[in-house]
Amino acid sequence: MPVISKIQIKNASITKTNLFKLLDLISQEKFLIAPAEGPDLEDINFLPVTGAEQICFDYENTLVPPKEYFFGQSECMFSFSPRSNESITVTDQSEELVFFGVRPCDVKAIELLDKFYERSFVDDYYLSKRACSVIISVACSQLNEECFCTSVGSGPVLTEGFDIQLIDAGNDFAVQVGSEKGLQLYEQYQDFFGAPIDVDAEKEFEKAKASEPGFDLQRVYDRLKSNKVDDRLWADIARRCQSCGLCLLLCPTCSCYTVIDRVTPNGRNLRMREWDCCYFEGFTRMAGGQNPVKPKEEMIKRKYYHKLVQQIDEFGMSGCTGCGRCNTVCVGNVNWLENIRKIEGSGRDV
Amino acid sequence: MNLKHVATTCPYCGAGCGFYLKVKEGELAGVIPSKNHPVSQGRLCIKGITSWQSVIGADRIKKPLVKKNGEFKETSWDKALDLVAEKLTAVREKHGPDSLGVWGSARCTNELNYLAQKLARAVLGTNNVDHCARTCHSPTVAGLVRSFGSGAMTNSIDELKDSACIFAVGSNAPEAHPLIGWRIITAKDKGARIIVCDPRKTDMAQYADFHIQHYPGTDIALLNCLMNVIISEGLEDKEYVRTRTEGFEELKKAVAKYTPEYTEPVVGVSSRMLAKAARLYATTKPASIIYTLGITEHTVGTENVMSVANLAMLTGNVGIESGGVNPLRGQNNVQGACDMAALPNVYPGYQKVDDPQIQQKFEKAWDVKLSPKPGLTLTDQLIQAREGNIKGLYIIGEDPLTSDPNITEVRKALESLEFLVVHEIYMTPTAKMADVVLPGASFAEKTGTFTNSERRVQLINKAIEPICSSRGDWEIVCDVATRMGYPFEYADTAGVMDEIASLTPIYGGISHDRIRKVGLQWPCLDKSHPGTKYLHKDKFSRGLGKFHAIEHRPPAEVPDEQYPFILSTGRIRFHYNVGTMSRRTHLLDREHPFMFVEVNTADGERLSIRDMDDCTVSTRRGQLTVKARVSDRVKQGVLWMPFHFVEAPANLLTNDAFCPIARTGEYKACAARLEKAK
Repeated sequence: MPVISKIQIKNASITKTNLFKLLDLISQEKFLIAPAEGPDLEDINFLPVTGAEQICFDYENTLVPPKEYFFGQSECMFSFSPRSNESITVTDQSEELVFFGVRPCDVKAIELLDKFYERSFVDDYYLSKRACSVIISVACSQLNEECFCTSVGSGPVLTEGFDIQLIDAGNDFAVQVGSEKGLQLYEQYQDFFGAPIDVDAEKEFEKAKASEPGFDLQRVYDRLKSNKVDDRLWADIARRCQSCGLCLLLCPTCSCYTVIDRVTPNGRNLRMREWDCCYFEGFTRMAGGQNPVKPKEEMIKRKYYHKLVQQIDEFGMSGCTGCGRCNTVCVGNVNWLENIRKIEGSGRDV
Repeated sequence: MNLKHVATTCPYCGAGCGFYLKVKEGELAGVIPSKNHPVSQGRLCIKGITSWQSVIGADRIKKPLVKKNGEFKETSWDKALDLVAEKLTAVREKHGPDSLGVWGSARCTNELNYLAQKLARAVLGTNNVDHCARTCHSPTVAGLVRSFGSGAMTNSIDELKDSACIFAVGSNAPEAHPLIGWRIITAKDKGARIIVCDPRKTDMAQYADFHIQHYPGTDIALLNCLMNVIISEGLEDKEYVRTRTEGFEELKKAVAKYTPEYTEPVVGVSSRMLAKAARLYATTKPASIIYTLGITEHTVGTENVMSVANLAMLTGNVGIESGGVNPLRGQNNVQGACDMAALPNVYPGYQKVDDPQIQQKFEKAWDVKLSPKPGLTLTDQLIQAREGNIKGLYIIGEDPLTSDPNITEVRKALESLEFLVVHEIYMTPTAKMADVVLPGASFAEKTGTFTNSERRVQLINKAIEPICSSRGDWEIVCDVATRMGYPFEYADTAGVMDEIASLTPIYGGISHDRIRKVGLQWPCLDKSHPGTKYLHKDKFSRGLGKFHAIEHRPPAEVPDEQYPFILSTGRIRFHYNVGTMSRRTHLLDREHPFMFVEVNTADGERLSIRDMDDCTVSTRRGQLTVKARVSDRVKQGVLWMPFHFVEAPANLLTNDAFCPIARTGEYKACAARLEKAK
């Protein structure tokens, strides 16, 4: 079954008071995952909430993308006994989750992951979790410092691909229902919603685009594809890269993982899959020590090509959704947006 | 969905990054970076993001182990603790309190270290308490106390990004302290000038405007030369020198002979570059010096530290924002373990054991008679064990059989003991030699505090139940003390911190509740004190800063015909110290799974050793056969090895010659031979 069955968009509205009440009810009746403050350090991340008062409504975005609920940093696929092949226990993936507050860039990223994980090998671990989730996303009313979604067509407001989208309209949110799953949720809680109200999503988009130091994606695509980028750019990034992997591990569209068997301290045998990434030298090193993607410049060039050319060719959408997380986490001060602009800028200032 | 985030502090280096442990169904499932944390600011290194994996290995020690007929048998806590108490009591009665030693741990909490030194002093009755700072930054504490009056990083980590000049000597921050490396890269991006002094072309050196590639063990000659140029060209901060320091004339006299021309052959760096670097450092303010073990791990370690302090004071760079002398501490809580007095000569907060007033204060607080005699360092405890004078050791979270220089001698010392008890989370070579092994709790399994390199006291919170049957290791120390007739009664570690605060002026205002959201930097004198961002503003802790006149002395062992290379050791990005945790972390061990020696290309050619060839490195103490990494990263005539690999421990080779003041071993320079493996 496809993860998202799109429907013709149905419009409605909800007052902010009613939204609070609705989320409060959902949090009691279902598992609700929403932006919430962590303990002590008070960072905002997607966390299970058991009451609407725990939800943070005034937030930009989380540092860890919501992909972690479908494709976890570390997840057990199954446990097993090494001596008997009948003792395999597959981890239950059927917990129904409702998400609130996912940003358009991350909804777009999940759309790309959906395409990736059902491409050739159908990945049940990912897809079954996606099948029992429904996402209420919230369009952005302003761009953050590191964001550039308008250049890659993933925000600040979505035109399709969402379950339910909320757009801030002062005292109310405009509500758009865009999928079967979204419609089911909407119908279950229909009493909370009101008549459609007017918001001009197109205008919001144009306004955001004007304020963003963006780029022309087509031009970036052409220049990367025709290999017109000065190699000094890759050398500069390679020199800065400290191999922490965070720009990829926390990228909402990165989908790479490694599979390992782990024996826990109390003796259970687990087959795990864990986030992995192409900036780790061991990721592409072969037995015998040879590595086809070495030196580091090659790894870096490959990442830009993959996200800005290959995924556009394959999925018809950019592999970068403009969330800006990779800029926030870099200990080498590599700025992905600035580098894309250098790629776009015909190489003279590279 | 049973999922929570628990805020904590990274268990690896001294930068002290903050993050959340992700706990799913009661088990660790990942690390979530924190944007709000003042050090990490949303970032982490590869060790930090994978740190949760390091403590869930299948081979965690699960139950107390007692050795019978050379083999370990699992036993109950009660039996193991009774045995520890009984044996320690027996050794004390037979040989006296000073035949015992306790090693605290830079890997463990402040609360544990406080209790460990209290166990030694108040229960066993000896000041023989120390910890692994002895193998790293003890010269920093000794040297900076002599120069400034207190031995810690003078400034805060985040100030580095606003320095106009960064002078790094014997420090490879991007690999060893990645979040400090980030500040250096940021400073460089903002236009700061970078001077790196290191025998290797380290990752740090690639950001340098000047890379001074001097020989290992020639730091004093190098620093004296820079000061010679500064003074002879009149570039010193005369007003600062006059009003805030003493001993300038002696310094001037001492550095007079170290002209660039005189120094060039000693350090192996051109006189032109030495003069240029001196001018750049002296004329670019604020300038921050950072250093690590390239300075301290020498027989002249303490004097190296004082030379660094000389240079900073000469140019008026101490006591100002984004300046200073900044020793980057290598372990998560090595600052705290020093603060808590897991040291033989002081009580918590560097209060001297041989000061009668201080002794009285602690006798009153602990209600017991205390020894006024400073104890033995761990270096000397091992020497005295070989001599037959130390009979029992209680080692917490440390593996001297991998981490101390010349481990053949360390083995002899441990073999001569009547009783050895070790707290560990995994079986290490040292734990294997113990009579009793007590399973420790990792950073994810307990609540307490770590103090980072910038003196910031920060919380770690219990995220999961202690794995297997281990309990919080602070409780183990309490149990031992109580069984020996001195009840340690604390409800929790917050209670231990309250006692620490009541006796330690620099921690006077610290409590777990106060540091829940963001840590406090000591000195923090009382409950309303906001903590201290940088030290020595307007006045040094000791009053005037003191210049010391110091002469260059070569390492204890210098190359000769038989051993023509200088061998130095250090860390790589993907591993941490003796590898107990990083080698058990899948991604880290995959990034770098094997031991190696760095060889200069010209030396490789001469000896017909190619990259990845097997080769044998030998010193007067032992030999190892490892892979050669041939490149221009090391200077000709120099070899370099990491020390993370227990299967090929570099410290089989290193020299157990020690700094006479701080008693730290000379890990950074000894004479070695290199041959192609047969």
